[in-house]
Amino acid sequence: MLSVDTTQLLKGVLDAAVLAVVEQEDGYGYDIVRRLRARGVESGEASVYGTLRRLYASGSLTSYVVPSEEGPHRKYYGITPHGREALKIQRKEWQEFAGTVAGLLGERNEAAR
Amino acid sequence: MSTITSSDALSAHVRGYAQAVRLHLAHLGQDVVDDLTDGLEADLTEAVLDEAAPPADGAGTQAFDLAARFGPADEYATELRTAAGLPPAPAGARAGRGPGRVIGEAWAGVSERWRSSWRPLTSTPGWTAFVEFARSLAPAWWILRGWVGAQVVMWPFGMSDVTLWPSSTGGQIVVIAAIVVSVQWGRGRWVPRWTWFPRANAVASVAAALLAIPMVIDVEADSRPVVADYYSGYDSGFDEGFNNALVSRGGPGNGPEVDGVWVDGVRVSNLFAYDAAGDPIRDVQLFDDRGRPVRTIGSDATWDTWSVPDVPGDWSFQPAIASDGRTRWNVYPLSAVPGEQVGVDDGNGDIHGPEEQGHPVPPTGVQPQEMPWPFLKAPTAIENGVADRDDPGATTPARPGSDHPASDPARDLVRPGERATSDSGTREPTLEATQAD
Repeated sequence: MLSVDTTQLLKGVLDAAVLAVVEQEDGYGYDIVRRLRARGVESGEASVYGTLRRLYASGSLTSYVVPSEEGPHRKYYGITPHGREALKIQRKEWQEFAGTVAGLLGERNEAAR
Repeated sequence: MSTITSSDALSAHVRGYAQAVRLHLAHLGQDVVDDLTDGLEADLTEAVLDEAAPPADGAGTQAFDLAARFGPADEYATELRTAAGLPPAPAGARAGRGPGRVIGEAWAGVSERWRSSWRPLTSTPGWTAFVEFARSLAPAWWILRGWVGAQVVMWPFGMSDVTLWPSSTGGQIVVIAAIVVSVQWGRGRWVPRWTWFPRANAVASVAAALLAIPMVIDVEADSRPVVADYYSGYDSGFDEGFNNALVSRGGPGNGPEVDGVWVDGVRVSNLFAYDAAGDPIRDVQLFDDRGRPVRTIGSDATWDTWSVPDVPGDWSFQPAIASDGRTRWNVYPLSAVPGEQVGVDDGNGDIHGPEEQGHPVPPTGVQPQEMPWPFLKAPTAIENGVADRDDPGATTPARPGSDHPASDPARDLVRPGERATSDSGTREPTLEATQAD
């Protein structure tokens, strides 16, 4: 029950989370999933991949192919100026939203979670 | 442990799962599906390996149950699609795409069941070692597949029988192109982006593997005469190759059972004997170790014409005629008449010898000619000591009748020739250590 809620919550901020991870360093699909998980963001892999495609299609991300020696080529994603702009807005919106909810629930909340 | 030894099984599972996901997204169109699932296999594989990495996990087999790890393929596809902000399949489309989708899903189910039924075998280390070994042979298989594909492509055009290397330039281009394409496909390059292509390619590859068996057997059976034809064709000019090809095709079968004498893989038309002193010997009768006459012109090839070195045109070889009127094809060197002359006279049907299929008879007035000898004198003279040691009887060839039945053909040959001249000096050294070139 709780996990489902978390998943639902996450859906709203997955774009921002993915943009934030890619902003730190370019990465390919599963690499980004792994880095999200390392930061405690458990999201369905397919959701992350789909989000990457959508952000790419909207111009927030750029992509390039990196040849791999032992496996298939990897499609890396990097953030575009447009993506940085979008991330900045979403950060601000999230902080406002988190503050609002924290005030409403009347308890200290770990916004990052 | 399981992650390394079962990597091939894993990649097969991953491909199957990714294919199933694509199937569920097919309504989006090929380009979108490709974009959405580009690199999916790599991501899935890495995710599985990541999870199975701790060996204490104990999830060896579970790690391969991709549906357990990632959820059912259709849910995965839905998640991917919604996250990408793409629309679901229209309600009507499902019915419209009915057959293909139903077949595809049925196929995915069947193949998964098939895989799991073999899992007791395929999860063993021995199987994995075998698969890895077989996988290392993949490039050879790509080449074979290309070759088979070329044979199939050429077959309806009659461009080629199944040959290892076609004689026509067009055929050679087709074979090279097919092999290049097959290898590139094997390396994952040049692969068309059609939805149906992977499956069609899989079916075609299986068909190619099945076809390869009879084709390779056929080529193996063909190989000697066919290869010899082309080599001789290159070496001695088109005519000879062409004629040899005629001979081998006209034979009772392709392969060693073709009658005749072969040297270095090339069919021999005539033989020239030299004595120990290096001088030519005419009208030599040749038999093998079982007393069978050695024939360069088999009974099935008496009508063939041959090109002869140093003499232009086609030649039809003529047998020697024994005193009883029978033809003797093992008396060398054979003489010959121009091929076009016997060709015209063909209709007379003048057949010699009851046991023969017949041979071309020159028209009246045309005498068989002796063919040019390769050397006026053999390049190497033989010291008599060698011959004496090997076979003393070999130096007295003129008296075979003493221990042969009266019917021996050697005794009643019409053309005894000059063999007697070579007998005179047989017991003395003829040339002392002279290596004439």
